Amino acid sequence: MFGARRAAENYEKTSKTLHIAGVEKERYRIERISAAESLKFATVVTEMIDQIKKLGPSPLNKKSQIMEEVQLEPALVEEI
Amino acid sequence: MEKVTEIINKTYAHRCLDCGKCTSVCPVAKINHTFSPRSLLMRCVQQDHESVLKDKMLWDCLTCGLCSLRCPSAIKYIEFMRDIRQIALNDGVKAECSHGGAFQSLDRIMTAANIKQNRMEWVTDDLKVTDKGDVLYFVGCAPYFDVFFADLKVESIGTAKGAIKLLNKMGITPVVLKDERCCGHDMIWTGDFDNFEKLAKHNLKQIEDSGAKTVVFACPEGYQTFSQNYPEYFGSLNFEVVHITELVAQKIERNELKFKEAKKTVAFQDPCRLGRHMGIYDQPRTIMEAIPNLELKEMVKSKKKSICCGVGNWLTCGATAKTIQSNRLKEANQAGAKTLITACPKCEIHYKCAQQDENLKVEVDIEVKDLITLVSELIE
Repeated sequence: MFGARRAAENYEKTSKTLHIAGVEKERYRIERISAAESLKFATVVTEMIDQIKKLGPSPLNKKSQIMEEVQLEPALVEEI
Repeated sequence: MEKVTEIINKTYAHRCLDCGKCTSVCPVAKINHTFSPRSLLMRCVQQDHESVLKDKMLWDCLTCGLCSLRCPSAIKYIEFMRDIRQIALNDGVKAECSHGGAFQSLDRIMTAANIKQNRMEWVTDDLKVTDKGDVLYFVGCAPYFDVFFADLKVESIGTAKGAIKLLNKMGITPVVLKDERCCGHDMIWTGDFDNFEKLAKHNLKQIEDSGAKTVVFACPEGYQTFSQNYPEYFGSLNFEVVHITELVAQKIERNELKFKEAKKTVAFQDPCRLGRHMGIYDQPRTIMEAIPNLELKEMVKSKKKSICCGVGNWLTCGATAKTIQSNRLKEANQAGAKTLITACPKCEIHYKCAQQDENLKVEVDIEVKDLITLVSELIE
């Protein structure tokens, strides 16, 4: 019980901090899943992956910035 | 080795007389007897820098600058620590960070070019701010501290609001940057020069775009970084850097600001960045003297002799830090103060954290308050 409570506290701090830093709230979530709820675990993880894929690369990802620059140059895109 | 030699020459480490004044005056060494700034320095001078780079002790230094003040050879200890840490970090040594390195990570997040921060939500309608103008108020990490240390009832945003309220009272509508980055203070003092440079360049560009001629700080760390580290690495700045206490003290001397009465006996914690690094001792005292009925009780160790709040740059925090903090709170209490006034958000955080100790609460009954928050509450 203590670990879950601690995680909830940490999540509150982390989510508020990330919100100020400009990371979209869809990129993080907290869910309580018991060891017996395998189906819920699978559903939540799949949902999360789909959501992140929809959002695309994180604004913090330095590689994504390079990709954007590449996309801006049509000639380069054609070459690729 | 070449880099170490360069640092030794630049910081005059070779002048060391082995007198040990640095270690005897060091607030960390007083409690943690294994820590010795002299040992770190001498080992580098005696070509044993390999052991220093791997030594955990390297991250225990608070860079408060008390050692440099006492050193008869005027060795620049803190610059020595800063630059040696840079070599250690490049060698793959991991810094001993408190809070699981959360703040160092946050600083690194802020180096990303594409982020759009939501850091203006605290600016309420009663505070007048603008996008372009002559005076800029650099908020610093206050929005993050307020969220991260909510359980300690830290009022970092209170300081920022207070600073804008004071500026408004002085007839100034300050610019507040929507996408301001960390000043890079914790990056450079933990040896991460690359990320410090990125943050500094973001800030300098944004300040240039705003057209500001004066940048006002309420945070001593930002003030010190902009005044000393930015010109050191990026040349002289196109704007003037001032601390808000300088502005307020100036107005008080001209009798332009009046305060309400406050029945308080207070002690003042000189933050190391504001005091020993930047030499601002008198302005906060001028402000406190201008408040009717506020009695300032000087602690034995105040002004130049002031003791640091126990943790520097979000590095090592533990029993040593907590002992430094509780000793300081006891010292303020012994001086007869019921409130300890600080002028640095980190001092406030660290003392409020130390007060979480139930046993200390019984021993020392003292309130911790930020100077700017107090002044803004009392202004007429």
